[in-house]
Amino acid sequence: MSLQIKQVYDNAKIVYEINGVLDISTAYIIEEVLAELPETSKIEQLILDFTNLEFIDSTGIGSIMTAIHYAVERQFEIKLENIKDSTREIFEMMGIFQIIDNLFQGDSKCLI
Amino acid sequence: MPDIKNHAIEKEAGCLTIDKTLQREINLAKNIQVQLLNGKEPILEGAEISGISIPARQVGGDYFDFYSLESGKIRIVIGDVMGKGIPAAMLMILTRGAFRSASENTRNPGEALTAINTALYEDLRILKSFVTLFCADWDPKTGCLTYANAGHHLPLCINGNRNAVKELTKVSGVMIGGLPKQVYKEAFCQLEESDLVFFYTDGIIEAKNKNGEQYNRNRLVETLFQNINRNVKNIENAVIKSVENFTENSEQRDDITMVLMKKK
Repeated sequence: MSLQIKQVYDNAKIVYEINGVLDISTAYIIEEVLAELPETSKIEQLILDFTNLEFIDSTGIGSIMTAIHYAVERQFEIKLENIKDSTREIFEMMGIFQIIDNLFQGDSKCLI
Repeated sequence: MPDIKNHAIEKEAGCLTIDKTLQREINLAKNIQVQLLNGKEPILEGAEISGISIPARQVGGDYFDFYSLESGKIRIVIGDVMGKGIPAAMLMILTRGAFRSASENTRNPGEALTAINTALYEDLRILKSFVTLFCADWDPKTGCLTYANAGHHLPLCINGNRNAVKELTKVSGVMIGGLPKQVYKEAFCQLEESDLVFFYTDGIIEAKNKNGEQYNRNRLVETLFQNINRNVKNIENAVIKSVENFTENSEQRDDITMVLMKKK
């Protein structure tokens, strides 16, 4: 089981390409890369790209929640991109999109 | 000059003592969880019920429970705490307390989920965790199952007479710990004779074989069809056996939990 997160910076935008398995053995990596973002960075948008996500479990979902709350705290926009149908189904079932809508209500900062 | 060799042995012995103490405590924790999870199954009027939870590690984060309401209904809950092992088990016990307390003071499953979320939201946010729960009230007088959902899989409903999957009305709601002040919508299903309601956690459908294939929902439905005319305990055993055969006894990656209720 492995996870690689490729970080692509583009001015005020940062993309995390999630490659591999996001589960109990790898989810901490999301928190580590978020913690590496300097407080002074001028990031305005955080994109999580799920194109190469192979599997996600509940701890992986928890790491996505951490990223969402991190974006709220740092006042980033957050965007979840290229979600496969099976993963979208899980996100919908657990209320991830509702949580994002609610936390960014009226702010239009979350684009799915 | 200190005896380096003896010092090393003492250190090792110290580690062994800690390991043994820790192991004993884990065993006690496992025992607590098994006792609390596998309490008495209620005797239902007009239906039979059964439940089992098999943790992937010594303790787990899956949860199921039954609660007799004053109205004569039986409340059923099944859930899955984020993660595995000891941290998940600790939160599972917290969830159990919240469920039992909520059931004492609420009249329907939606209200119960709201009360559980209110009780646990702040703790779960601090701990960066969450719980998915599906809660249903069974009314033996009317044969009606009323349910609400906080981020969990909908149960399967199979009709034994027609050997067909009966689609349950979808209800969705945010997982416990996802957002504060949640209201959970309810739906209901009028159960007919030989209807089986199969509540489950994802450890069943996501169990993998050596080729990395998942057991998935279709295999589960097929197994339920094949065993639909048996009693709930036998159906439960058949599902466990089928998952074991599929995975060829490879390592269990996630907790497996199911509750079966069959209308007579």
